[in-house]
Amino acid sequence: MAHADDPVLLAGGTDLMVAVNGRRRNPGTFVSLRHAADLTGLSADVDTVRIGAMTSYAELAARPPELATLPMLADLAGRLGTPAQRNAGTIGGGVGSARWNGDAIAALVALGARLDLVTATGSRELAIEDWLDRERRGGTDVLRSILVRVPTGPQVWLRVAERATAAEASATCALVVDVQRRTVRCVIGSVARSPIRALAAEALLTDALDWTRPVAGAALCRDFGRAVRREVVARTTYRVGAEHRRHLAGVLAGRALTRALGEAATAQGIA
Amino acid sequence: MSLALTVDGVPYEVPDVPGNANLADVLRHHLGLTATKDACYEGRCGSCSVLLGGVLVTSCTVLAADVTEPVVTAAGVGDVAGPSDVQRALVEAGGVQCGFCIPGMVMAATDLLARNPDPTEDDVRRGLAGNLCRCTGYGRIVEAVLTAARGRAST
Repeated sequence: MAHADDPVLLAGGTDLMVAVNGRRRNPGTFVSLRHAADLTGLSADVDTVRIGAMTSYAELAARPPELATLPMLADLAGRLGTPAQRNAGTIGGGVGSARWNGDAIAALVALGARLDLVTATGSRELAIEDWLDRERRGGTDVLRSILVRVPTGPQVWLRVAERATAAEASATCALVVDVQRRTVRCVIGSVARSPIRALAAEALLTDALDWTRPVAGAALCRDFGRAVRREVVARTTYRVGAEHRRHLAGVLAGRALTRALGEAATAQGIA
Repeated sequence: MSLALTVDGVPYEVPDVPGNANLADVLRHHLGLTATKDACYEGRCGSCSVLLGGVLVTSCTVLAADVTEPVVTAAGVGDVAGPSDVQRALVEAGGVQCGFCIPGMVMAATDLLARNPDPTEDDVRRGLAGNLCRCTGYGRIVEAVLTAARGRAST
């Protein structure tokens, strides 16, 4: 999970071995983290969940009790990749490889995750957004666990791809509303080099909501989606154009808000 | 480097393996165990699926040098003389056309039924979602897995 090219840390292989097979990487030394006990397991206290870096997506998708307060991560883990990829792939590996269209990264940014890193001299914590800035990573640091402060409100993760399985997302949207702290985080993934926080849309929603009874009507959901679309600067790949990605981002954001705080959702006591 | 692997219950010493070799290549090209197919080398097509320590993985994305658990391939699940229920059901349902994807399908289905002995059709489709077949359209493969599950329930 350190980004130094050699030696390279092996944390599942679903990204790294693809690069090795394709001869895009040729590490002289692999350091397997499969049996590193410090990097496994989940724990939860009153307001924070700690996820060991080597926790597989299959483990997260099985909805262990420690993950009960972060259903968005369990949803995500159960939907990304194939069954075999979910068995082998780890959330720490996903953070470490930090692929532009990795599904977990955007959701972790929306959750405001912090990374617990083992350094050459001890340990340190780093916001995941800072990890995405290669300059701030630290070449020899090893990701031990991911720390998430539990939000007091709805969390929604939506994904659109050419097919449901084994296809990179054309866009994802992670929306986290923290009612107690009166904050909103909306992150669009798989559209650009790094996840995009839709800050203006977040501000629009934060101002528009009645935080004593946060409900988003249809007009607000539509306006929120449009605001997200305006903020997204997307890339074109050979299958999905930038404009289409922006469109998808707006649609997903509007749907995510409807699902999180729409009248039907709040009437059912979801929010 | 030299590797010690156990494949389908047989221990092997495998000399002269490149340090960055994947398990699929070692099975096929170093050991000549061609039941496991190779195609995409990206973990997407499922043709190289095996059980590693009882866990379904795509062997092309497994570093061979990192393997310590026993490997089970489609040849270890059953053979022509003694096919497993999944293998027999695939043949009887007409689920095998060109056959290239079938070893991976067998492994994914075997794993699915071990975890979920009474799957719905949707469960089967999700369980096989990492295995691509370009011939059958999947209908008969899904039918075969459901047949195998029903057969287990009735015995």
